[in-house]
Amino acid sequence: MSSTPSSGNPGSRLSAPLQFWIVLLVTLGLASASSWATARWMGFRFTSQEPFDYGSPKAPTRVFVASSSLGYFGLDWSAIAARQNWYIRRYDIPGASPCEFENTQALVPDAKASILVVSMFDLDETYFSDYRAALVPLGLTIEDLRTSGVDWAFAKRTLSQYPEHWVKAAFPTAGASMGVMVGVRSKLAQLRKGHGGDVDAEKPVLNGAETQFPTTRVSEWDEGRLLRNSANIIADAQGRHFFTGPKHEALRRVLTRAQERGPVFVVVMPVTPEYRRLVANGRVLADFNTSVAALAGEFPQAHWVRLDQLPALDSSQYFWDLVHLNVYGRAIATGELENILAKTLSAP
Amino acid sequence: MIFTSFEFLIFFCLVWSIRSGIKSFPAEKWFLLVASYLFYMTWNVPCVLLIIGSSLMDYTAGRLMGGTRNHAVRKALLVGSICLNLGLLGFFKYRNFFADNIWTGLSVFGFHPSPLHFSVFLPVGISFFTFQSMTYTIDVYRGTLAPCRSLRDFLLFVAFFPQLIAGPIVRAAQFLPQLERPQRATWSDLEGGMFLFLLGAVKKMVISDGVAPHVDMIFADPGRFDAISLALGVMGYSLQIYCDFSGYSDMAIGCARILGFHFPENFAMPYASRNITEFWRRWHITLSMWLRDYLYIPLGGNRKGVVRTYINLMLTMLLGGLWHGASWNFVIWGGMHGLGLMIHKLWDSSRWCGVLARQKLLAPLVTLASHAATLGLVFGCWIFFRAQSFHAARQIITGILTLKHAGTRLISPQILLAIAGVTLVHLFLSKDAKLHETLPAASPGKRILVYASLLILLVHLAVTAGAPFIYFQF
Repeated sequence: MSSTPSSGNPGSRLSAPLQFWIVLLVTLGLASASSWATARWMGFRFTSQEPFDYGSPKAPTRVFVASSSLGYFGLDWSAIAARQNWYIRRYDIPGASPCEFENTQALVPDAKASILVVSMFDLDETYFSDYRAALVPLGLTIEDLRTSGVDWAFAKRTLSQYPEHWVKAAFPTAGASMGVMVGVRSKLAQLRKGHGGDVDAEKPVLNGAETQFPTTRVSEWDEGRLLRNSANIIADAQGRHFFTGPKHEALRRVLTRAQERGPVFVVVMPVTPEYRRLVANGRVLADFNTSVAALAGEFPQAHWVRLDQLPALDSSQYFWDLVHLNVYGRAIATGELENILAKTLSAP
Repeated sequence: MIFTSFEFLIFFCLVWSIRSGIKSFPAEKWFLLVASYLFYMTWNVPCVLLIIGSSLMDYTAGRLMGGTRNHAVRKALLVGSICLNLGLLGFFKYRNFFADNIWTGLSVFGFHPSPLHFSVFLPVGISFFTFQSMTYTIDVYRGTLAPCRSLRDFLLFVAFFPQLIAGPIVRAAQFLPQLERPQRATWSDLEGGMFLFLLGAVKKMVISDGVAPHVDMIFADPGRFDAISLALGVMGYSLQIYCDFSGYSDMAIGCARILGFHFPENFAMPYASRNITEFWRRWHITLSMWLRDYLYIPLGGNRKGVVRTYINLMLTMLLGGLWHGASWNFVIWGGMHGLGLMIHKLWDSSRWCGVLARQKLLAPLVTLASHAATLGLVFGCWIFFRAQSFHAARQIITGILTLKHAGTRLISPQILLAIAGVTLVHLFLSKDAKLHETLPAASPGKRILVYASLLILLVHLAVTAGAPFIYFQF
């Protein structure tokens, strides 16, 4: 690097290289501080997985539950634990898929039964959990990418999660633009609430800060809001949808291990009809069903609970966004799952 | 490997580090050449042969031209080189376009041959590197540039990775002299280059990729939206394409500057232009200048009377439109700009223009009206550039002009924020500001303020799952 008299601020007594490094470091420091402040203000999660226990620890059966936010919003685990007399451990990982389930499964070695909650959204290979790189070893990801034979563009996208994860150590909001935008809207809505505004505007899910069970309905959304939301999801998936990649490979391993421990229930959660209309068309749905059918054939002992095929839930009035059930949908889904669990487990 | 990917950052850091460690100047150039080919091979391995072949062809033509004073031979060499370059472009880019149009033409006359469609992929950056390479043979023919004696230098001029994929179109006369002596970045170059890279990343990842999903949705089915949504979609696309392309150019110029090379400016706040002529002096400057120097002026420019001037102008813009893509949409886009330029030329030479210019009281109003008219024309032209069909373009234009009330209203916060942000920058920043040159000499406080603001925007609002740059398809 050569230093010319014109480099840096000529009026300063500091040399050009020193000025450069000071400016660079202070810039990075300020951006990092602001990113951390935003993340904290918006309640971003800094832990990749949080355990949640339901039921009494004295209950005879310890059950492992793996789910994304779809399972969190869509099923009442306390009620299920109470009804079955189970002690359930569920790990909360925003945007989780079988890739992340695998990690948490190892943390509950004494589970005697497993419930794996998946959906057309969760199993879609093109959506990534923000915490994927923190939980799934790079070597395993490379192996899965190789085994599943995905194309190079998708492999690059998957692998870029790792450097992005390292960048997030300094800038936790990096790559979470949608979380930031939704967080700002949520904060503004909270401020408006003080002035009589509507606080239910698009709750943040990815950052894991949301704890209430929403009562709003997608059926009340206007078409513009539907389109806006689906456009964001389409962009996130980069317009592609497929179900035979690393997530598929991980689910096979999770199922294999779960079967060794005892009964396995795979609950397939529904998505809104609007999601199927605007985001994932008929061909995607067919691909998803083919992929599930292939797994069901491979793991016949697992009980496949297709809540996505339950006519009672095939309406957007039971969802608070395009893929998450609201409290009304939650009640229906929980009731249905409880019935199936009771029937299956009481059978000789 | 796009500039906004981690793999490029790793690649660039490696190139910068290794190159800094090389002491021999020829070895350094060999290294940059190999790195450039490797960069291109991440897009497509066999296509690198196309760049090498095209470069060898033009290098040979240049050497042969330099070796003879026979005008006819020189001309034949130039024509041969141009035909081969345009032939490559025609084969890879326009083959299906021409085949489709010939087929349609024959159908009109009652002939119905079986439709031809060639499955030839478009080598990324072909429009840029062929135009760049042509500047060399044309300048050598004109005698304004000495033939390059080093094959390695010439190969590097064509393939230098920062500008290889989507410009700026760097001319041989601008780049080859930089290969005559070692180029080392000063601290000022390094900082200016990093600033440009950061600025480009913000334009691309925050603005362009931020508005893209909603713009795509509106342009995918314009018939379902009301006038406000359609207008927002058009404005959103106008910002998207500007930020996408100028962002890429900024990053390319920044990368080159970090390596110690200087590229010409490619964008200078075009939406702040007062008229369409000024717009073309500020939008894709290297292409505009290329078209002016290698097409418009050779056609006769404005030296052959008023009518020929207008014809030359229109022809240049139609071909400029076609350069962007093999579709009539682009030709119409170019034609509309050509028409705009003609009207402006007419207006500029009219009595009314002079009368209005002398009315000092009306000056602010005239300025405002000129800006509005320019933006209206430019944004309107983008509709044809982006729309998937003429029918879709017509739906958008009628929807906006008739203030269509029926239909879905899609108010995109991303587009609104982008409009607000870009407007603010245009209001408070001089359109002739060259921040990458002035900022490194400013006080550390001011520099930190600007750089930190950009970085904060990037780490909060950058879309990491963004699409490739729009101009890659050209």
